Amino acid sequence: MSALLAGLDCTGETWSVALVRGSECLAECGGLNARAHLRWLFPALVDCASRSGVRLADLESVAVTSGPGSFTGLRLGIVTARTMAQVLGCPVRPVDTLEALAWNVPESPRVVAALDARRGEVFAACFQTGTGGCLRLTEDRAFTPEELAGALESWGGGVLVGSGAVRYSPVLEKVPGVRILPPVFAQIRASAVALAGQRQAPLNPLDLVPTYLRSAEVQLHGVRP
Amino acid sequence: MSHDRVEPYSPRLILGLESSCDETSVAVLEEGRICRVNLVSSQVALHEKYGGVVPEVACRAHMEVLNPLLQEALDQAGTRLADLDAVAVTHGPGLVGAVLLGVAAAKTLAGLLEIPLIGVNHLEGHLYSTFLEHSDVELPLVCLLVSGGHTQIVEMTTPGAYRVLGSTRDDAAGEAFDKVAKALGLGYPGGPRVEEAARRGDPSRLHLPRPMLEAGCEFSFSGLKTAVLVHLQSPDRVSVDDLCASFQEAVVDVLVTKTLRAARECRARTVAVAGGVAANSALRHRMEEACRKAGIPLRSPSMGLCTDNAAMIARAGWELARLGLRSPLTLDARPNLPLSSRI
Ligand SMILES: [Zn+2]
Repeated sequence: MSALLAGLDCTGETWSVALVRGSECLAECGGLNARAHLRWLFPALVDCASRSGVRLADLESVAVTSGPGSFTGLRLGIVTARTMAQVLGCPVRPVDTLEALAWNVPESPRVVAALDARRGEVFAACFQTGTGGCLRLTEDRAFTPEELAGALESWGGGVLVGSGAVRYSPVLEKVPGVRILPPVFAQIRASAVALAGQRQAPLNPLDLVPTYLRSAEVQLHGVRP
Repeated sequence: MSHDRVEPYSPRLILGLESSCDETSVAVLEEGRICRVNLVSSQVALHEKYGGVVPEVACRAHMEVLNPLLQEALDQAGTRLADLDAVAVTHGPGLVGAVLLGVAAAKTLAGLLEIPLIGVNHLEGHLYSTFLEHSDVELPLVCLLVSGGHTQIVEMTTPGAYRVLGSTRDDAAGEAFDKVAKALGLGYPGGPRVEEAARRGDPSRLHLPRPMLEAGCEFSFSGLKTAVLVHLQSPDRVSVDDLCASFQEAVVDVLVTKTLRAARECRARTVAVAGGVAANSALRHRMEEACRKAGIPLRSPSMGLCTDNAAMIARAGWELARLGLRSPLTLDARPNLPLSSRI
């Protein structure tokens, strides 16, 4: 039987947990409201296990979005995943948040995943998606909406997905060849995190580090370095 | 709901987690008394250059150290995760982004190990810190909880029964120390710096106000802090050492007078001082003297247990277990959680 993986995401306004075996999602649960992340994340996973008749003790690994994203949510997901792995004696598999988001758009030559990063910025990266998964075309970085519009122009447009794309659609949709997906596609699914995680190298839980893409000082002073 | 009522139980090995402000701590407590390990990772050095606790810096540091510290604590205690009987965790008050990391780890541990989760109020933890070292604490206890975030007098009549007799209307005592230290250019954290300067100074050089000395158990320190700032502008300034000594004397005067008044009114059989400011030696000496005169035993935690630590959280969790309390896995972080009675 293929390995059982858990997927976790709470890096944005929504949270999601899932259990995946091979290419099948056994159970998935999620919700809106960033303030409920802590309350529901772990209990929902316990619920997924009981509804799908598997034991969390049988997890081969825990996949988690490791950023970029909301700092508080990012840390919550990472500490939950690390602690699960510590108890179960299994590895973790970090998944880039933007890659997990790009999984919402299957079979596209150019998917631009863009998260609202607050402070007038978006975290974005460009991917090519197909049946085999997700191929990264650019590195994650922070853009102002105008900078992203410029980058989109040089990439020749693409399908835009994520909270950043939705929020700054007035600026971004002016670029030729750009299509912005509605908010329902901006929700990251933990099943995608687990499926993407299957391709990531397993990591000792204590070696899992978040991708903040912004220093703590910027958060403090509100200026870009 | 943060607690469910169950049959009283008595966990043999209890894990404590604390991450509410600028220390990450993990402890393993046996039979509610024997502290097998109490590791504290302090962030003081990280916050020094900012002159105060920066939440984002604090949260990043908590996340980095929490899981390695847990591993180290278990190793040092010679305990396996499977040996644990309960997990106690601070779920408020504190920095929400920091508290939630401890809670996330605690509920994951409790859920996977299938052991009780016990949410503890951080202030409740300080209240019980004194029981870790003293087996002769008689109730009612009147405790002065005094730190950078809190200043209150609490009465405990039986385990789980607390009454807040008074708290600060503005700054906490520790906050006043920090602000005065900052104004004098002494750096951060203010408490130890002011205390050091005060040791060289003369407390009688300058008379500063004792705010609300006569009024019950309520505190106010912002007026005192302002008096210090005003004095700094005056032409006949006293030396920094004398100013620190006079300021510290005024704070200690207020804290001791009010605590003793509360102790007499409650007919307390024990007095304790807990929290970070309880490490101030002037406060410790004056409180000892006052308690001796009043004939009430003083049973304060030692220095290491005054500041934030997980052993006190584990101890409080053990008391809550014996009262038949446990938390659901939906336990949330409560940044403004008030101290309220459990029974
Ligand atoms: Zn404290």
